[in-house]
Amino acid sequence: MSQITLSHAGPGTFRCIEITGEGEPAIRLKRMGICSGRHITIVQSGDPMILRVVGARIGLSRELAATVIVDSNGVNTDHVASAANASCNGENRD
Amino acid sequence: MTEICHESNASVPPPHAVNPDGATVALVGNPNTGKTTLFNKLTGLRAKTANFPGITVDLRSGRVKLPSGYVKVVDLPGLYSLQAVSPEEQVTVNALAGDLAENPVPDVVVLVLDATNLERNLVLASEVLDLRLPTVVALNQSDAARVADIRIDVSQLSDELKCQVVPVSARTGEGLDSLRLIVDETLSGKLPILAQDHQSCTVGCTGCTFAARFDWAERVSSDNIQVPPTQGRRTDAIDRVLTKPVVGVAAFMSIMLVVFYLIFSLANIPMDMVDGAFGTMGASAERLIPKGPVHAGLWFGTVFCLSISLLAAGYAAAGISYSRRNSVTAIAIAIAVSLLPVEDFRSLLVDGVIGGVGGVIIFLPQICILFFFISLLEDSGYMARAAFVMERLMQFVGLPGKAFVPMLSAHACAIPGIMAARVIENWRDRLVTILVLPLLTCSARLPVYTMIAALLFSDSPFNAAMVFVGAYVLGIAAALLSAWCLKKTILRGVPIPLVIELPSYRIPSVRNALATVIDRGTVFVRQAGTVILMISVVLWALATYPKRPDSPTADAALEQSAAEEEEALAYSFAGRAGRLVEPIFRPLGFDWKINVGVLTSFAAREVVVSTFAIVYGIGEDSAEHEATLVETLRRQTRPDGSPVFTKATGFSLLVFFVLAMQCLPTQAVTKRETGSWKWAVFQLVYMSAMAYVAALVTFQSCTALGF
Repeated sequence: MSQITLSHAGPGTFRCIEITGEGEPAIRLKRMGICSGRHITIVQSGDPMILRVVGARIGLSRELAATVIVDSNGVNTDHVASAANASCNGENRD
Repeated sequence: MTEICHESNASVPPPHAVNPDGATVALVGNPNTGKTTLFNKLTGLRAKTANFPGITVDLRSGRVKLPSGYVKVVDLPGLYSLQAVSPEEQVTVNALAGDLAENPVPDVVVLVLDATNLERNLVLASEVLDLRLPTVVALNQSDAARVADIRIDVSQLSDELKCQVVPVSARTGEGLDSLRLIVDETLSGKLPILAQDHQSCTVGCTGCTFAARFDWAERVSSDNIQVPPTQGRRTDAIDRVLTKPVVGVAAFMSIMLVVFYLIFSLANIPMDMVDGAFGTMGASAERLIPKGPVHAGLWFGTVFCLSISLLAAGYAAAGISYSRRNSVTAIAIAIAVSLLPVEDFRSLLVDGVIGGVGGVIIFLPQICILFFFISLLEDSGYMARAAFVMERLMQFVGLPGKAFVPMLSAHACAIPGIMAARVIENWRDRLVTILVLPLLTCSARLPVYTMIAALLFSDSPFNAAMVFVGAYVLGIAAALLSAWCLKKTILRGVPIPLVIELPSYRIPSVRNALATVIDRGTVFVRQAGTVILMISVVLWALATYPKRPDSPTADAALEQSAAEEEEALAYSFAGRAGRLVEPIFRPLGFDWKINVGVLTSFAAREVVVSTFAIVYGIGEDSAEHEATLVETLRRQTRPDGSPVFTKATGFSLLVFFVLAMQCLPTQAVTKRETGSWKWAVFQLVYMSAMAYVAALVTFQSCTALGF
């Protein structure tokens, strides 16, 4: 499984592996759902970028995106639609 | 995921019964869940804002009638997690723990969850449920969820959360009766307290507690909710335009331009009304006070009662308690006022109290209109986009994008700007923003700019307009530069990069906007009734006393001539102070009369215009006639015969008024929002120093260039 930071990821949906930062910035990320295990969809790239995480749109600066490690193999899009919309119909994604 | 979560089967708290009358109910929820709408709907517009000692956060609370009595409902600031990262969030955490001054642990927690965004909201819910307080879940926006075809199995969700779940709509009022009933039953112990052993992830979880909570939230929501895949398409479509780097900034600027146009055009009518009302009040006060000799005892009694009732009203507004010292002070002031000669009393009432407070209250309409629109924009979800698109530009000075709206507001008046700075989560960033806001050109500076522009370039409208443009640009540049310097020096801190929720767009609530207007307007009026009143009276006393020994008697003083007004001011403390500081201000090109203007305009900048009218001997009433005033100013000469108001003096005065902290009401609000006079004093000192140096450089270089 190869890993990249979210700041280097292109459009698509990725599974978050970990947050490398610590302290307040890390808490601010995690409480928004940018946290290990979540699926993160990049809606708009740039700085700041727009993500879709746990059913909400989140604006995120590139600087913080660099502390988010994701699986470089995107998640297939069917899965994305349901994950992003918080409607995972009981499927087990592990 | 069960291996990382566990069933916490801790002992169930004993069934408790609280007398609902006087009990405290706390509303808790994520930002953007419609929690405040729910609060406004429950309490009507009768909420009170409480300010606790030591914290700078306002808590709104109101009485709500339940079937078996009245309860106090507190609207706690919204938060995403109990791991607080802003002063507001910390207040919520403390309130839930019962650590907030005077507030016990709430008897019932109403957890407000957004039905259209439930999975995300469940994370905070799991943290709050772990506190094991009696909790009722209000599933807000359930009407919107129904429209969007989001299906929630409420009874199953209630079983899962182990607490009562009530679908409500704060907007329409749907479900509020059941919510009141269930809160009532929870309080009186009629409902069995369900064992709150939801699968929590507090102890024994490996790794990040957030990951475990999100896993739990995902499972609960996937078991109980069905969301159609089209959810959020409309918001996405709007955002494709409004969050683009260039188009987004342009859209934001256009929106704010419209808002400002509305503020300045709509505020005119109520401002004229306030002006007229205070004018009438002054005139009738002048008429009511007897002109001839009065019975000393009767006079003393009447004035004493009047002063005491005014002071009592002031104390009530400021929330000052009646300690022995406060009561003695009030009585002493009332006696002193009653002993004033009739003439002085008239002047105190008309010029000091009515004139002083009126000069500040006139900005109330602008402040109210500004907050009305800010609240609408915030409620619609747009403000998050504004912060998002401004983030990159604001990062150049080290401030977050959220600082931009307070900065724009400060162009109407610094006071609403400072109050709006609460949206900035990080305390350091908020403080820096508050400290630099008064540098931006507010509307109280406009009469001063008008006077100076007329003085400098009455023959060239273009140049006069350029004076205005230059003053605005100087203010903005000074604010941004100061922010940058503060961030590099005394308020150094790691920059806080942006993480912001961009909530779904919705139709804003006029009711919420009105609640905000009443809330912020009251704060401003309270300040005007207390601190500002005190400042006005002190400045009045400085400009009135000591009186010239040969001053005309009461009868003659009624029609004081312009020359007598001038002499009286010159003889007063203010006049003497103006002469005293003359050596300090001479390098700026100011003579002692300008100094008097600078000193008397400490409460409000626009006062300098009327002070000039008095001190240059054309009488206060002539201040309205700009041409007369400007002509008179032009004629002024220094002892050596050279004119006072050269181009160099004009520019120096302009620069001074752009940069100086000539506004004590703003200082009072800075103190209120930062929680200490320390930052208010710092603001005064750094701005005055900057104004002095900049005016010095302006005057000296202009003189050197031969202007």
